[in-house]
Amino acid sequence: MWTELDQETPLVGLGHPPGGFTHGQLGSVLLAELPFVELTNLRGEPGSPGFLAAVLDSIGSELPTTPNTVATSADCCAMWLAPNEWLLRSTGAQPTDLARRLDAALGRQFFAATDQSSGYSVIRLSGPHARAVLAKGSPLDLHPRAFGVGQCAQTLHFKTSVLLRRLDLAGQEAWEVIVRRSFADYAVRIMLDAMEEYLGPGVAPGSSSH
Amino acid sequence: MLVIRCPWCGERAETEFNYGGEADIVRPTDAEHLSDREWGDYVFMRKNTLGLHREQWVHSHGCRRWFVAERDTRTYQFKSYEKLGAHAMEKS
Repeated sequence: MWTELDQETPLVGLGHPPGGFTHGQLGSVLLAELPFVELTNLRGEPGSPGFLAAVLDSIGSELPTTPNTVATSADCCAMWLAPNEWLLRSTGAQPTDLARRLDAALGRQFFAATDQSSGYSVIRLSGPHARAVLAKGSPLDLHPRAFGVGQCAQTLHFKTSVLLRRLDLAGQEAWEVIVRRSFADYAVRIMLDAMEEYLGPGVAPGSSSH
Repeated sequence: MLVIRCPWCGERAETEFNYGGEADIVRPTDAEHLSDREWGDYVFMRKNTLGLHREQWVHSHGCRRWFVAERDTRTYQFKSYEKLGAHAMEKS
């Protein structure tokens, strides 16, 4: 009889290192899976009295009301999805039970907070060629003058919907791609293919150096 | 490819959108008193406009909001965009 459940990421087919799948080199382009990130979908009317203030109290972050922007706090990042919908991504190491905290804080407000951690995969692309790799599958203009740090966008990556967020990792350009779990294998394999020309021969998926 | 301006997200590629047919079709409130012909009109009959056409689009791979756009069916050029409900609010 099973007494323990092993949690597996959808990239298990590409190898299953404990810290998540990685491939590439930071000096060129590095793909890293961030396994089991806590994600919470929040819906509510920003115009409804007390809603934004109650959310700020509960998660410590403003909700961005400008389309396709991001607001961050110490342990949470709120991304605009729609005029009444946000994706909250915990940035700390431990799950923070955002959905339950919001349920408690918003009480009788008209809202919905749903934990979606197991529904999505989070992939990070970093390095000088990260943008070029993403651009192969995206109809968006990813140039810094059009898509800066603090912005996010839902768009297509080849045939699958993704949520992109521009990051700045100690001066290094980086992107976070949030993709539905069932499309993660597809999205990552097509990114590996797109990365190939920047990595040169002999770097097989699954091997990595930092 | 068309570039379509979502009223929330701005200009995006056509592949992110889906088309939703003619705009401003209002569901009859007294459906139980309609004849088959009138109900059929509401369900099936659409104009086939040559020229400016008010139509619905949804930003399916973006913010998933519906909106109304006015497009010239001869040139495929978009003339204007509005959020859904904005038109109805103006009228009332």
